[in-house]
Amino acid sequence: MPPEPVTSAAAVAPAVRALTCPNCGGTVNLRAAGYTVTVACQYCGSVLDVADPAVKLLDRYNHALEEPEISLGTRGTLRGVEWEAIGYLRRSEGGYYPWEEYLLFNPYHGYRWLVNVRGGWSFGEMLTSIPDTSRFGDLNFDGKAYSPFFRNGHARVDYVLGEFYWRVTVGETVDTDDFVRPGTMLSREANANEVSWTRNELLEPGEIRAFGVRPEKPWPPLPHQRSPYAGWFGTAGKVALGAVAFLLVFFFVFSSSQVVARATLPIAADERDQNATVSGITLTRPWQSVEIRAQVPRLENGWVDLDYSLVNRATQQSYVASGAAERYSGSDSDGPWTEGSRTRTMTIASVPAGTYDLVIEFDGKRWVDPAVSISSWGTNTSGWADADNQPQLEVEVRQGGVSGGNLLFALILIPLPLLLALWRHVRFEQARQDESDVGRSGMAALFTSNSDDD
Amino acid sequence: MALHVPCPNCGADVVFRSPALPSRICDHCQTMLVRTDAGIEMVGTAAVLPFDVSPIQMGTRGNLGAHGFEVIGRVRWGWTDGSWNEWLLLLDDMSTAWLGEAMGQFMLLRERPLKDARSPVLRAVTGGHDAIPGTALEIDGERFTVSDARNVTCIAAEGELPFKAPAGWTVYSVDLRSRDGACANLQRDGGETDFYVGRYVELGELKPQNLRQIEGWARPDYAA
Amino acid sequence: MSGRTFFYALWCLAVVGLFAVSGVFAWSPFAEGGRASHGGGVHGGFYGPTHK
Repeated sequence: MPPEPVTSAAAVAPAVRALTCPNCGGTVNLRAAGYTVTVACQYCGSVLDVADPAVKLLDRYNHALEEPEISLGTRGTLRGVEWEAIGYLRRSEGGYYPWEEYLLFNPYHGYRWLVNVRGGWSFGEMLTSIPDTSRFGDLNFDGKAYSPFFRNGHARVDYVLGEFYWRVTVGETVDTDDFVRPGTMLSREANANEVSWTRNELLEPGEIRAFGVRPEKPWPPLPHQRSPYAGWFGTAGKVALGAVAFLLVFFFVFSSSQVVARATLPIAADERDQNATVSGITLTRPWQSVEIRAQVPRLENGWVDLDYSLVNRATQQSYVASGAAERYSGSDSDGPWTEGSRTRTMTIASVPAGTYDLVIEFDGKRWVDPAVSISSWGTNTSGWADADNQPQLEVEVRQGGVSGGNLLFALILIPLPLLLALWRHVRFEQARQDESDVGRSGMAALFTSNSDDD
Repeated sequence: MALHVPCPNCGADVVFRSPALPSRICDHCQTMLVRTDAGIEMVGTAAVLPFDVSPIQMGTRGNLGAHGFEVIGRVRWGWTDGSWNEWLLLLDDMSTAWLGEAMGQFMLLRERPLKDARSPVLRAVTGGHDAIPGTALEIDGERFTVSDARNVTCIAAEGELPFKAPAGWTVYSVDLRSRDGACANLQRDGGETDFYVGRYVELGELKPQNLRQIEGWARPDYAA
Repeated sequence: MSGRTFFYALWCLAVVGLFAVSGVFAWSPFAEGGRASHGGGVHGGFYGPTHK
């Protein structure tokens, strides 16, 4: 036997009950008859009591009504269920920070709310369980933790249109507290007689299109708005670690260097230009860097100019580098000081394979200290280059590996977008948390300078 | 077991399914009937039910745990600021339960002996005192809060019921709610108090069949 | 969000790729010297043994 149909085909009940407004005579359609207690006539704004079959006029108004953004009677499908907007409220904190609420109805699913705060839309549901609250700390509900955001609020009804399941009046106020976690807000409303809780879930921007509303991006962010960067760090961090691992492995595999030539060259005492050639340097890799390390062990208060030309024998292409090794020392009121180094290493990049001759042009110079008068010690120049000091230039040529400077540069570049995103995440969270009644916490507080506390 | 009799007023067929449910309203002429040892008595006329868009109707069936049920009766209660339905469910083991429907939320309640309401607050209510919303108390070791306490009046009724439900009949009703969806209710009528315990349910949980079809609204997925 | 991850992965790929290419060609912006634009210098442009 086929299964029974879910809904009775025998009698289709009407969805709407029409009644006549006692004030203006207009036809008011009740879409949630039997549940609706108060309805504001859409023509004159008068508030009618429909709790019992005799319609009573509660508040008489006669004014042209503003159409809300979503006309009452509009239907839209949210998260798989069709809803009809049957009521509209405008509420505020004593006139400040106003927001809108639409009462949604589906006879098979009950009521929901659409809450519009500065263009950000949330989907609300009244809870049947009561969250565990100590009113001054975090809330735990349904296995999730919520932090306090607004405390001791007073929500006042400023404007009503359509149907409601309680006796709503303009001016009625409830005490409110709100708790948030990313994407969800729990709101507590209390008056003298009862306490109710609503869970509001932030809708994705596209979801509100179901009601013909164009999504907006509110700023500052809504209390329960997710930071666009929050979840991203986990995956991006893994990508970054992978890249760094590759860089380090590549570096250690290809960073070896070996000596291909050495020379020891005497330095003339008369500061004349000298040159020498280190012949027959064979470079085997397709491309390599050539590191030339020059050391002058006897250098003191002077310098040696160095010009290198690495010439490929076959092509006569030369690869050049220039620099100097310099070292000074002395003593002043702070004590003895030294400056510079006796060693100078220079790297020549991208040298192709081949046989090379290295031509070194060099001259050793003494430093003349103008502050020292000739008479005091007999001379005001250092004697490092004197012949009896045997000054020498020791040159070591290495076929080099991957540049450490490149590695460092790459290691700095890799996390740069992450740092940028982190900065933007912190700014987002600061803007979001600055709207609350509680201070900043977490990352937002970490990056708060004293001047931000105003 | 089910007793079929003609209505003493209009002659239409009227059924009494359980001895525990001696009262009913004739579906055709709205006469209130009570079944006694002496026979079927007429005890007045019930008010007409106001129009509503409840998804539940007489004859709706569903499942409560292992047991199937059928909706066989309804009482509509009202107070100054609203009204709601309470549907009587007859389970296939001949026990009954109430499905309260208000603001789109459903409370499934089963009667419990009054002695189970051990809290001093509830005993005070039984004794004639009022409860204050917000008061916390314990039932079976679970914490409940009084969410509502007020006089409610019977507006109308239909089907089979465990009591007479004349229009204007007023009782004092106390609603209780717990942290995780449990609920309870105390109903005091003069010297007599009834106690019910249950929980909030989604209509889909009951796997309903034969729901009322409402014009312009598609059948819900949960009932498919 | 996955778009952002994709672009970050591209960024890392570019950095690592450039690093690897610089390694292959032994090039570095931090090197002091490189290929000379002219062929001149000492010896009037010719180097190496000047006799057999």
